[in-house]
Amino acid sequence: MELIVNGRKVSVEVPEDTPLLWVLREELSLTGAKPGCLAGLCGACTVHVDGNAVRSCVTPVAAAAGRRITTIEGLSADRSHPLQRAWIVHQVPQCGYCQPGMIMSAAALLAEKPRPSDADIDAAMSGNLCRCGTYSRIRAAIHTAAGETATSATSESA
Amino acid sequence: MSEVSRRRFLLGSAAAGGALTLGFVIAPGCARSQARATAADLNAFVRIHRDDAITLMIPCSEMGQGIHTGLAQVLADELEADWNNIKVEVPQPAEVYNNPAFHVMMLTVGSTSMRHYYAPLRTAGAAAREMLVAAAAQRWGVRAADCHARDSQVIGPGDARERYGALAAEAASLPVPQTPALKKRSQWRLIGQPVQRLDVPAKVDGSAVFGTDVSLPGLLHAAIAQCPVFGGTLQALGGEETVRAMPGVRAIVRLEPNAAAVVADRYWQAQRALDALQVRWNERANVHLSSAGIASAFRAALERKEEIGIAEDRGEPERMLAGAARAITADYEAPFLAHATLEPLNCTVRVGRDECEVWVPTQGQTIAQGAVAEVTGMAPERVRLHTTLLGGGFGRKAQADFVVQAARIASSPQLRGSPVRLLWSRVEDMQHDYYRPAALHRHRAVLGEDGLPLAWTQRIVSPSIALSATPLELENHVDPMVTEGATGLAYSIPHRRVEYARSDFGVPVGFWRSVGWSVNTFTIECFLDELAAAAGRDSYEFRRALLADNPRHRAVLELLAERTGWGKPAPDSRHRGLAMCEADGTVVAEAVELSVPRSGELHVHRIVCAADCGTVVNPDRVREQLEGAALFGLSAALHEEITIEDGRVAQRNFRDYPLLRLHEAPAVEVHLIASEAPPSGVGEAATAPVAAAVCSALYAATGQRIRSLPLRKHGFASAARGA
Repeated sequence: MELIVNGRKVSVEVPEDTPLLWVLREELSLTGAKPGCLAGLCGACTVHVDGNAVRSCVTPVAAAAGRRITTIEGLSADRSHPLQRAWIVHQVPQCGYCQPGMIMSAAALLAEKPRPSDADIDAAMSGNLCRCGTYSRIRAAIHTAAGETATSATSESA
Repeated sequence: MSEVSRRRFLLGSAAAGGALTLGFVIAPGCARSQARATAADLNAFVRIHRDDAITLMIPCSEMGQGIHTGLAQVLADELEADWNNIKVEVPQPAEVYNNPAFHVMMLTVGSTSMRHYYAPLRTAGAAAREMLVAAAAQRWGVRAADCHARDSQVIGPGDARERYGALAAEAASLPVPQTPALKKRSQWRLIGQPVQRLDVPAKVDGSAVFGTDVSLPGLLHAAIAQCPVFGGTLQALGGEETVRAMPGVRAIVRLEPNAAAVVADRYWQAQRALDALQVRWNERANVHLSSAGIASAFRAALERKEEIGIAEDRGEPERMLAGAARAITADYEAPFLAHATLEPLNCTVRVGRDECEVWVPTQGQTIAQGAVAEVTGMAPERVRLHTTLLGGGFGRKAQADFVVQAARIASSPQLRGSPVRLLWSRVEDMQHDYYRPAALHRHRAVLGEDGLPLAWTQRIVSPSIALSATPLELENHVDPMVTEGATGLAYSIPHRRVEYARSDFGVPVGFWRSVGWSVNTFTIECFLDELAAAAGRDSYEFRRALLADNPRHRAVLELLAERTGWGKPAPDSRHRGLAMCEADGTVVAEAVELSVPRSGELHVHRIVCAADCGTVVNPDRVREQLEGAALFGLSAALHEEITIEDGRVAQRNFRDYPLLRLHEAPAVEVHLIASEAPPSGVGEAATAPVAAAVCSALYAATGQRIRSLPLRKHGFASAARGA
């Protein structure tokens, strides 16, 4: 079966119903997308298929054949995507396990809504779980990437 | 972790009395302090390469708490290393790397890492710096006092300069200074700065390597099924021939007493094959265990007279209560909770002929290495252990159960020599946790004439963490890991008694972020609010009065009140509650501002957090940990509950064990007290007060007293974000 992953055509030989997540991770060594729940409930496996955020752990690879698949590794060659830059500025990741999925969901959001409101962010991002509590930094980073000024003064010394 | 727990956290009979070994106490010429072809180890923590790159050995697990960056800052500052040319490595377990909090192991738990490695790493950095300066001075024939170090260079008279890379070999052969001069605070260049995390870049481009991501030639994958009933065993496997013939399957491994695994070329092949395997369990006695039964047993234990541990006993609380016209009593319940790290448990092992290698997201390197050594029959030194990044830990990854399983699988005759990664499914991870123990607490108190608590008793009924998750025994029926946070309260209450009635059911329990504090702070702070109400006093003023003799706690509480705007009206229809504790040496107070827009709907708008954590090595790391810990506590308060039905955990995945989501997460405002005391632990403390602060605010909003969690049990759902 032929896939187009991060702009390149690749050929894989796997059963059609193999979840896309495992094809990416084990056939193509793209380990950015993560196994979190393997049931489409946490978003750690989020990648793009034709620009849409999908849960690769419950997407059979056959459903993505011939379509443009983008993973976190394909977002930029050098961490230059505005979201990646904003994620670094805001020091978003703690353990980091959910973050590739988070960034891919955010990228799909910004592609559709370049200046999302907080309600837009809620709707697009609430399907991605973070156990470490980085949510408010995620929100701030999305606003920054969208070109708005981050106004987040969350700490001072007494 | 409380002082008592820490002192008692010893493995078997290993010496508690040994002197603290510090990385720099090394005789010249010893294997560690040695010049290599391309690098020199100045001590166990500092390796300087010929090209000036510096590897800092940080003996802690990076699970999101930022400790690799924080401790690297500490070491690099004293060392005067160029921050742009350092990297962090987690070393192999060795005595010199043991966590000073526990003495006998490398173990990242209990918010002990910064607290206990801060001083030794400053010393190690300073000693290495002095050796490098001495080497340069020697080379130039000048006095060391006329030279100084900066950014991986030594600078001498007449602007003589030499890079660390060129000096390291000579420096490594010099005597190790026993009391090197540490920098004054005014000289710090990294400590105290919001330096960016070293691990963030790899965490935004997918290149960060977690346990699940380790790539090795010939790697095989194992999927596991464990008997869902606690204490049950594996009875029989059926359909093995069919399963063996499935694509990619290499082996079926029985893991007595209670599990079976299938190994295949790919994870999905292993999981599919495991699903096809007919596994029969012998469920045994525990199949009758249920949450209702546990609750009943807890209630009976409230009255129990035998095997009661006394964790604290001051004055004559029973006499005060007996003589009181009006004693106030309240019972509180808290559920079992799961860790639910987003990265499920996993471990990769390759068993060779007389050595083996392990790649694992572990919090307990010494424990993991020892476990593999025991399974393989090899000496621990023959087990090379690589600590990967952890996709969350929160206490779960300090256990070795999944490591033992991986080692047993990899030791199977047909698999030896191949690396095998065992990856637990989310269901296995959810149902085979070492849970935060469920508990029932009975609080009693009587107020004195001044309206403040005069006598206070607390009986804690709960399973024992020490007996389930460690090799320790209880002394006098007390489990300090369960009672921490209930004893030694800062509040001035003259007559006090804290009792522990152990109540175990065969449900594995362990360390869950903030451990004993996670339940004790909830019940204590809720009860204190009830006492305040009985005294007709405001929650803040009541606590402030009880802290009259405790300036450190009072300062944190006052800072919280000021930054929250306590006493001033909250914005429209919002209500406030607060709670505080001292955990892991950090005093933290939190206020929650919420509204109840409609009956059964709850909207948490704001969490304000004030903390005194001593010296702040990195203000952004501290801020981020307090934020994260607070939201962890909020998630549990609102949503989380593990229940037992028919001897097994009823929850399977995030649908029935919901976690806090982005739309429900308020911003957490963090305010830090400036302090020059040594750093205290910040990874966990802010989790503990959140539930009580929420319940306090809910009382203000609704008049309803909540005495059990989670809040969704009481019909509270998060409101969608509104205007």
